[in-house]
Amino acid sequence: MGALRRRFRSWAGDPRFAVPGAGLLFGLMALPLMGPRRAAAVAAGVVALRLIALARLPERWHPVRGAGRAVERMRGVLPEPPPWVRAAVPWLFVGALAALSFALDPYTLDVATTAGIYALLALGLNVVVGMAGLLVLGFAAFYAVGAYTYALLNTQFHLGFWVCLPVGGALAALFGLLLGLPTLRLRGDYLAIVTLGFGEITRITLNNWDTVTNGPNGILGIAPPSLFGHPFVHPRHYFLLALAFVAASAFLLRRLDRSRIGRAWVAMREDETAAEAMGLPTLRLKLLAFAMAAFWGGVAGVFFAGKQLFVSPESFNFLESVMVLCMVVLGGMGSVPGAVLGALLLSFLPEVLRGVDQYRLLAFGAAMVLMMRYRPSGLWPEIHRYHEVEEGRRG
Amino acid sequence: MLKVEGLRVAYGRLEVLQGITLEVPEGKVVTLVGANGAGKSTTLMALSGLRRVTGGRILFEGEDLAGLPPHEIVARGVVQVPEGRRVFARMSVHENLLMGAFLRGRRDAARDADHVFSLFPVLAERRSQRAGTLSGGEQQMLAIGRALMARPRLLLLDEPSLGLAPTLVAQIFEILRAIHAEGVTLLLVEQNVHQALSMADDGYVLQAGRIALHGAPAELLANDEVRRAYLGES
Repeated sequence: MGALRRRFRSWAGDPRFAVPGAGLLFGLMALPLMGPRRAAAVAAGVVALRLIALARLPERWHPVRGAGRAVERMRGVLPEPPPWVRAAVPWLFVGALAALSFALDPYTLDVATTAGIYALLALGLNVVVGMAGLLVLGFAAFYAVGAYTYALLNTQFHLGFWVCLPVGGALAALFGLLLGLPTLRLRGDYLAIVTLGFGEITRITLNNWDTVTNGPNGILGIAPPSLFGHPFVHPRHYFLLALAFVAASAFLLRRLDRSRIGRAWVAMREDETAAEAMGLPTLRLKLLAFAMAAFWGGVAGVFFAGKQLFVSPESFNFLESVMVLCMVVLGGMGSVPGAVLGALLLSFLPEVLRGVDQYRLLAFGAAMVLMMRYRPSGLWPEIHRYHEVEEGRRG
Repeated sequence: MLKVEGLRVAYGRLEVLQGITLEVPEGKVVTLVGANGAGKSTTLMALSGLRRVTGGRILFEGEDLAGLPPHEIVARGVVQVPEGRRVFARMSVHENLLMGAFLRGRRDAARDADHVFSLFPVLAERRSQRAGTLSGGEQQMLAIGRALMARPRLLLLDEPSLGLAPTLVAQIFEILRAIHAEGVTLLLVEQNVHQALSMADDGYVLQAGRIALHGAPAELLANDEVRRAYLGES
């Protein structure tokens, strides 16, 4: 038995077997997703990448490290851009996206708007999971609170989108505080379980409280938002609004990340006792993280209701919470640009894989495993988190 | 300045502090010595609100601190340098210092950071380096500097010389003298009994959760029991 295992190990480590093996594995995984021809291409691609990695190419030809080196060299040659230029780059990018929206078809714009909503959710969840280091699994609950706030206030009392936006956010934040107060003394896994339960309670309540929420049938006939008396009719309007929301949120949260509060969260994550000894009001800091995350969740919910013009409990199930968590982890926990990047990738990915929707979760799983193996701190890691993970890897 | 009366702390049913009474007068250095497990660290943790007090009073300038959350206690000027340094390893030296000044304004923090850097020139050289990459002695300096950022009036030090080479120990005690000279009152918990008693105005010996002896350092150093138990003499 032992001998067999040893032999298997030595095979797995031998590139003559391991490289075609990896190709075969990925090819088989891709087969049901995209058919034989594309699966073969995937297998070939995997083999090629493994071979490149094996060939110990000189560093500048290495696909990843070489690019990093080139950027470093460019930095050395080019003068450091003045701060206002660096600050302007993201805004130029936003402007370019806004301009691009006039060239895109309604379908793409609609998908992009949904991606924007997920980006808002991921940005919010990132505050509590990434920055403050508290694992929350029922995030969809706050999303639901926001969405139902707009749905109910609009259909029952004819309140407009712009009024409901802060109300929905604030109500979700209040829910965050209510959930946080009794549970924040719990650490790690226990907190995750309690928040998971909270998410389910919220969904089940929405599902069964027929008199108010109309149960599983949901709420129809929500009015679209309007701006200066012009109602939103075209997907581009929604897209531009989502773009503005995401840009403003990313800007605000990035500032938060670099503020005194953001640093305090890092300190708390590193050593809670030491943070307390230094006079950091840890309970208040955690509550703040909860409330802020919930606020963003609520705002995203209002936006969602304003876009779909229909809400039902189904949109706020556990899978939704998991999706948003995956986005945060994929992008890099604690990183603001990472959260946006993760949300965009995971929202567009299913669209790219249209028609094989039932394999979406399989692809997610594979993506997550690959991430954890090759880039455990995320695609665009936050610097403190990056060191945490790298030190953990080195042991 | 600080009067502790009948302080009790229990972990579950195990009473670790069984009624500690001690006093730290303003402007003095008081040291608390004792064997491992005597309750020295627990005493400091209780004073800074990190351990729940089960009985007794902690009077700081007449106000009872028992039961206050740690940040309220720090705000009143009682700050602890925790055992084992516990710097925020992945944050920079400068960020660590800013955390010490969390409860105070930004401008004050910048000025105080300059002051700490003048006390510890090594830290100034390493201000943007990650704290985890500092040597043990530098980390201890950072831990002390971080606590100073909170503008303590009473500084609680838990084994600042732990695990440091002799020359560094001497250096740390030099720094403590300088901090004391600036008007900060010190309560020092140490296993390095000689060093601690040599700079203290008053000493307490803690044994199994009770104060066994109290007196001037010279008396304690002359006491046969202390010599046997803590100075390794027979």
